[in-house]
Amino acid sequence: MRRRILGFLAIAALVLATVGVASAQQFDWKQFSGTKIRFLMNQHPFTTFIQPLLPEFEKETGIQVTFETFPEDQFRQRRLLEASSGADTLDGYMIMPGQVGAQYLEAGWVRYIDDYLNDPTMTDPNLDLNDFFGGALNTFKSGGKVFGLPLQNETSLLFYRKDLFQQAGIARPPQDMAELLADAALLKQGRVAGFAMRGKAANATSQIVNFLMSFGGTWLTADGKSALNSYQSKQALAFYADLLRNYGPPGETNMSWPEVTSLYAQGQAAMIFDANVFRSIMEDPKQTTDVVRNNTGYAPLPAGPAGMKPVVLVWGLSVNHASKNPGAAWYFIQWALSKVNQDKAILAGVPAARTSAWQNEEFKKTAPADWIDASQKSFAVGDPNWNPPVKPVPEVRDAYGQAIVAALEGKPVGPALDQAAQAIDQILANQ
Amino acid sequence: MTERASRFFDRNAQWLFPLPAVLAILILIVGPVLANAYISVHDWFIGATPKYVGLGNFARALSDHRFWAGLKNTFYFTLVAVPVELVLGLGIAVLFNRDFRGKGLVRTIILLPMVATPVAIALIWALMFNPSLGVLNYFLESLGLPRSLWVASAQLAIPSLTIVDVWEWTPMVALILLAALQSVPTELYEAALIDGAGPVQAFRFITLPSIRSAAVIALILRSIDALKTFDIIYVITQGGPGIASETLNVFAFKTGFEFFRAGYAATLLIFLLVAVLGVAVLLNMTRRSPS
Repeated sequence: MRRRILGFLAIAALVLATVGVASAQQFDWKQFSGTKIRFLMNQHPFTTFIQPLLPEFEKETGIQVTFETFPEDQFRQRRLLEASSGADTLDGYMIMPGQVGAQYLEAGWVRYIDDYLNDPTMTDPNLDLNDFFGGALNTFKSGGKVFGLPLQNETSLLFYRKDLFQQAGIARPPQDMAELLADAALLKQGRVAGFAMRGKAANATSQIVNFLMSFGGTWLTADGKSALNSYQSKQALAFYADLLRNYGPPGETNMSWPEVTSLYAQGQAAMIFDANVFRSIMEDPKQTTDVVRNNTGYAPLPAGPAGMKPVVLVWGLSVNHASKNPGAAWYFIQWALSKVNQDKAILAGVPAARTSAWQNEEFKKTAPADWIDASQKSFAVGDPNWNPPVKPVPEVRDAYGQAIVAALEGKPVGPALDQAAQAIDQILANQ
Repeated sequence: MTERASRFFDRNAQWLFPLPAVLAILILIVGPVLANAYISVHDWFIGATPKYVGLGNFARALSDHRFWAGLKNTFYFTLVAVPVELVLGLGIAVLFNRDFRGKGLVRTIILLPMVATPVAIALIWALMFNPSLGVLNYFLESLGLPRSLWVASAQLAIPSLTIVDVWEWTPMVALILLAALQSVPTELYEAALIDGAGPVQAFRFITLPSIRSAAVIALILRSIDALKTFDIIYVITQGGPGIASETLNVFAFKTGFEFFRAGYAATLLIFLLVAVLGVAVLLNMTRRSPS
């Protein structure tokens, strides 16, 4: 009997030991110590924020990360070249699925991470996927599978000069498009533009799409043809051209975000409409004049005939399909987008993709209340399809961009959009 | 080295010595051109499988208004920029052919634009062209002149861009012409002086004919380069407003690397290659023809 008990105990001990071994196979940040990985990054506030923290990651994990950072256009070309060439020295990159998702998924350039998510040795138990904004996480899912994690929600807001509003006797930021037009007229003073936004062809489409949707327009019809020749789309572009030709700055057709934000930062525009992340520019004493920095207010997109329909842009990080070290790359992504780092990111002005970051009390103290409020209102209703849901996105944006430039040059809007729609249908037929 | 090997090298020296150069040309020039030609007969959306389309891309180019606009812009840019560079370059060369105090310093300074990185130059010019915040409009205004839209205007985009090209490349023309000027024997001028020729006549009948050949070389080099200009145009306007400053090169780049249509982009570049080669051959003929 005693022997039996002893035997039983021995077996129990063995079982416990096995369990002990199993529990030793837990998530271990040091698992990939000694690995070197390389990420391609867009020159973006998130990159600027996370770069100085990389030594911390190296200390915590022993993984050495190198960033290669380029301005957006060059970044995208570089990423395309490296992803398509199957370079195994590239381990991960920033990606915006609303921009290139269709192309990258179809070509198989991003690595799905479900196997990691289901593997307790590969996924930090504190990752908490449910903490990410649902819309943001959804843009990183395809057919129920996950191919990356969102790092930020971005939306566009109206930046406006409270002091100039007061001088012009305007009590509140414009609530709808009619008010926007009226306010722009009141605010235009000599060389100071009443309102400015992007007008540089394809670059402008990411902003004008907010107007397009708020006027009831869409990129595509139900049967997948271009809808840019619709009545609503023509109304939207006509409104935009009217606004900017009458109350905008000179040289609109050459303005992308650097021109728009610096114009505003130098006090040359009373209102602009662009990405909410540019709050970091407006709070930087090196880039703005004092009067602009101390008087900037934020408001959501004014409502159009179809309501307030902003788009949200979701950037995130993905593992390169050909990476030699996909595990280490995934570790980096988890670390970079952990609750702790997303909390820090939002304090650095990056509109974090985790809901918890937006509840951070410290953040609420540092960010202007109207910016938080306007951003969250926009995230709540935002549509992540700021691009047409097709593969040749840049070509379609370019075609729309040509119509935008034509409208800003004073050419009739109707024929310009008819031509753009025709070009887009041809592009889609040839893809 | 064995005797056999050494004999082999001796006998084939005429093949072996140029071999590295030949290989370099094959790999760096012939290879890419052939690859480009191969790609140009395919419909290849990067990421998808290429489809053979024969001359389909070429036919498409000929009926594409953007191709013709690009071709026109390419030549417009070159025809404005290069003559100005030649005239200014000649002026500078004549000036530097004399002696004056601080000549060495001025000569170094004037070469700086050519040495600087083109993208950096382009970014600075883009800032200067900015119609609201740029320094060029500030200058215009302080001279009592109206402000200009510069590259933000469809009409002025190419002329404005040529200012950058002229600023950047006139020094090279000046350098070539200066070298030619310095090789003109001074005896010729002395003889002309004795025969009663004035400075204008000396310039017309001695200087110009003596540097003609160098001028044509400068013209060929600058024309080839100007037809292929990419960096300053892409950085400053990206071909805009609309397609007002989109040259063939910029259009091909967008087609390939932004729109991912590698086949069509390769086709556009073949047209550019033919245009550049054609111009180079034509100009070269004027160099050989008797004056």
